[in-house]
Amino acid sequence: MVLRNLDAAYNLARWLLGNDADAQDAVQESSIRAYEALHTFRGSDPKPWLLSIVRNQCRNRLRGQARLIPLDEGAGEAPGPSPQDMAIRSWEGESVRDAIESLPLEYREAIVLRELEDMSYKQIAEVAGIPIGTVMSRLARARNLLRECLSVSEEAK
Amino acid sequence: MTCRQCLQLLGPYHDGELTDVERVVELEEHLEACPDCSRRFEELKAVSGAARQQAPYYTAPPELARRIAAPRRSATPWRWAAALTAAAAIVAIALLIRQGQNRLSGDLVADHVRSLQARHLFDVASSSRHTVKPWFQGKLDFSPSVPDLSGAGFPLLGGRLDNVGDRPAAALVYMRARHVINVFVFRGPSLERADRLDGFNLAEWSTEGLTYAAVSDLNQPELVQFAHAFRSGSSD
Ligand SMILES: [Zn+2]
Repeated sequence: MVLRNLDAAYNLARWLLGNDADAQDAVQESSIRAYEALHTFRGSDPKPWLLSIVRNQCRNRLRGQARLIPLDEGAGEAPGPSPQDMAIRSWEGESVRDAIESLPLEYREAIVLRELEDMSYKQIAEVAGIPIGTVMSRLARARNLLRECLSVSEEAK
Repeated sequence: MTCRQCLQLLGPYHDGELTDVERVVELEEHLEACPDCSRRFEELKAVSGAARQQAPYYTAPPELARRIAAPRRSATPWRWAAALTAAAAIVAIALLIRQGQNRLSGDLVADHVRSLQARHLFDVASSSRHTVKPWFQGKLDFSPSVPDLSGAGFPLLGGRLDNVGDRPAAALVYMRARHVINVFVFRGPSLERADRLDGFNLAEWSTEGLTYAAVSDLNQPELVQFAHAFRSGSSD
């Protein structure tokens, strides 16, 4: 109960950083930052506020690792219908996890916040510090990439 | 509605973010009439569903909670302090479930102020939990935790009988610098929150059917730190 937000913080960090040790360090660092910044918290919902701190911590860590991701905000528009008939129901957990992990940071973050944390566009915008329109296009692009990824992995079988 | 417009709105529609009723009607009509868009919608549902159901949700390992909440004594002083504040932050964040300006907080602040004005802080004045805790025996139908927090910088001053609303309560008095902290213990609602009212800060939590409410003019982070110390100290 007391640590309810801890799971959300850890889940985000784990997806963004890709391993347990870094994720734990980032969450611990974030909770110190959150404490120092507690007096600046004005909203009614602490979760996006906390997750935005976690997100920034993760990005600071990644920055050192030279993983610059090309931004393609205009790419929200969907490509035409995919030719292959997708065997949707047989997607397995492992391939879904791999597909999400293969997404560029911005898109992975959008998927985790929307699908795993079930956050609204407004909350996601707050976490990522971007306009709601950008949330919308990132999410559309992310889902298209995910769909392509999953279709390919399905075909390879 | 064109296919292009339809495809752009599919995501928000799927996510319940399309609030314009007319747009929703137009989109649904288009989906019914257009097999291509309709198929794209099925794919979108499948991708979203796969992520929700198949992707792992990484819950925080227990050692992370422990690491934040209870660092080892062997840690250097700086790490010790950092970990303490981290623990306080986690508690605070959990507590920061916003209040309705409800009556309970009003009652608690009123009781706190009254105890200061009437200069009736104690029925039993003692810095020893072994004196204060037994004093309540037979006076209430429950036994409040009275942890020794002098090590954390919150010495105990004493206790008294009080009321919160119409409920009998134990009031424990702690001190931080020149700030008095009243902790009201009573049979009340199960809650977990921080509140601020009329210049006073409150931190409230529940354990074993009892509500604990700390009220003080101490700043919020320090009061949350106090609440955390109190809860950790109650277990022994
Ligand atoms: Zn269409």
